[in-house]
Amino acid sequence: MTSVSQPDQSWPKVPRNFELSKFFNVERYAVAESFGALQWSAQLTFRFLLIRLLSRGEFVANSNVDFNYLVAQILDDPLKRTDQSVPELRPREWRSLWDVDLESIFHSYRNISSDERVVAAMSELESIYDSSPSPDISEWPILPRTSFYKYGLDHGRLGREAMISVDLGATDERILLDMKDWLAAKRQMMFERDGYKVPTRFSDADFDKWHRSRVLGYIDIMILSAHLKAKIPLHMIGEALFPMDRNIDVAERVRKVVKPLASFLGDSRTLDALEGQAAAESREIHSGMGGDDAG
Amino acid sequence: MLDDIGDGASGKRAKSVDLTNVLSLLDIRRYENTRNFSIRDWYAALSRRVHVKLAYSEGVRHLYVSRLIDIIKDPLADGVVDLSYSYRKSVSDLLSINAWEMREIIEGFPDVCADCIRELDGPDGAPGVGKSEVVELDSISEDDWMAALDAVKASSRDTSGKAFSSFNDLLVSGAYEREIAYAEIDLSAPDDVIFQDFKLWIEIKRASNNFENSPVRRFKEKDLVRWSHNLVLPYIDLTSLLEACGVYAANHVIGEALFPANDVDVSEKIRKTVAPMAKELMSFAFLDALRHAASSDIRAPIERKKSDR
Repeated sequence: MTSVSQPDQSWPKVPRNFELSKFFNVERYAVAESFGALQWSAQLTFRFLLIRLLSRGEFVANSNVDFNYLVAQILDDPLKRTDQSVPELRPREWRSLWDVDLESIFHSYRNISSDERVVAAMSELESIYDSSPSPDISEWPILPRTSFYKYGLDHGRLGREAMISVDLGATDERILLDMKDWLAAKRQMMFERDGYKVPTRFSDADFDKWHRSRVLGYIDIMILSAHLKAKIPLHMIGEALFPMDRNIDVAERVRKVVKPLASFLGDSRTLDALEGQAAAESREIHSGMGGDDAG
Repeated sequence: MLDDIGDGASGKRAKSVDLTNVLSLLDIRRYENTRNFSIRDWYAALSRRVHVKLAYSEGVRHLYVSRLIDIIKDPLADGVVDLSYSYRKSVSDLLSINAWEMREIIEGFPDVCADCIRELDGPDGAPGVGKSEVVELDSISEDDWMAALDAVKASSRDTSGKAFSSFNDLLVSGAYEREIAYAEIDLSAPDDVIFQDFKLWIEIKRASNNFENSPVRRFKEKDLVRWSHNLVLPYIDLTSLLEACGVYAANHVIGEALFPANDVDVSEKIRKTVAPMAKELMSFAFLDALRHAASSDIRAPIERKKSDR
């Protein structure tokens, strides 16, 4: 098993006479300077899906997919797949927020209705209402007033999707302020759970940093490494990525900057967030704040 | 005189009551402090009056009369305002009980249930359709490569069936409350994207839920000043009093009672400004919005405070 920043340690090093320049030319990445969220999302998604497949060695052995062709294609024309030519990214169909659908409720209820503690709590609540028509919520049993999101987390759900209720009687301003609080609380909960902080937004400064770090080139070299099943030394990667930077230790730069960045970008949560932003920006472009069917 | 209040509610006019008597009951000076009202004060004052109207419309005469008398005696008394319900935020997690109750509503639609069961269990109890995220890639050719990636990313749902229709639409189509709308949020998206989608969703819900008078705007300082300057509270009280006593008064009479020193056409001011304003302020939708604003004013002030003035 390999990841983009961590080649399999069992692989041998490439031979001393290995010439990376035969496969890789950093100048082919120059156009990435103008990339926005959509292009970065497309380029990264494609690469990490390929890495996912390459890492499944057994699968590759039995597959009809011509990986030689794919890897060669990436190295030969690395930025060919842009937003116009990447069918796997259909940003306008992606949304961060939608109406709760009937199946979700039906499915969710199936879980809680088979939970004896919930059934007992609901029965207890019914008794409370029988004796008092409007009991204070603090008198309720705990489970009915438990966040359904938290209930899901406690019962093994991933917690990527949360349901909210919104009181349309409130002013827009109040709803947005409450939404801000709600989201901040969820972010804190997520951070405490898995230590990952979802970005507020990827900025042009981020994209510029990614470009200057030659991270796409690094990922492609890692793809080549995975395909060859051979480790490529950091100094060789550094020299390929930063051929003009003679005065700095390019191997250290790869180790300290590029590799962690590739690891961050390869995280499925980063890719999801980037795709979300790409989708939103794409909707803006296509329909001027479009959102034809958010509801 | 106050003892005669309420005769109008029973459809007759008390013999001892005439327009002059009724007008004399209203002491405009008692309303001066509305200039210093906060949102919460306005909510409390209007709620008191809405409760009077409710008692009137429901024919609960003794309540109607006693509440109206209380108001006339002390129009700006801080009535019992239960904002505890409002401490609940306008955006909150779906509770377990919500899911439980929502399922009960769905169960009222057998065809939807059947669709949901099919979606979950598949036909004849087979594993659910369209649920697997595992895509078999072994047999794909090079040409199908991109399509296969597309399939991986599409990852699960065929949302064309009835099971994936909106729960909110179900509520709107039936006799259920329309003030609350439910959303599902993908927390993997960046905050800014969620907010952008959320704003759009709210806009759509406001329209599709047919929730009239949706309080899109916030309540501002100038709103409070406008309500106070236009003497909307005394207008509400005076018209309620006239109604309770079964006495008719033309707009110019009401105008002169409320704005005795005013040079403008007070009749027009009542007709064009004060009366429509009173109607708006006494609507449930408006009060609901004011209640939220009042409770949020307590939680996190977004408006002026008395001490700021």
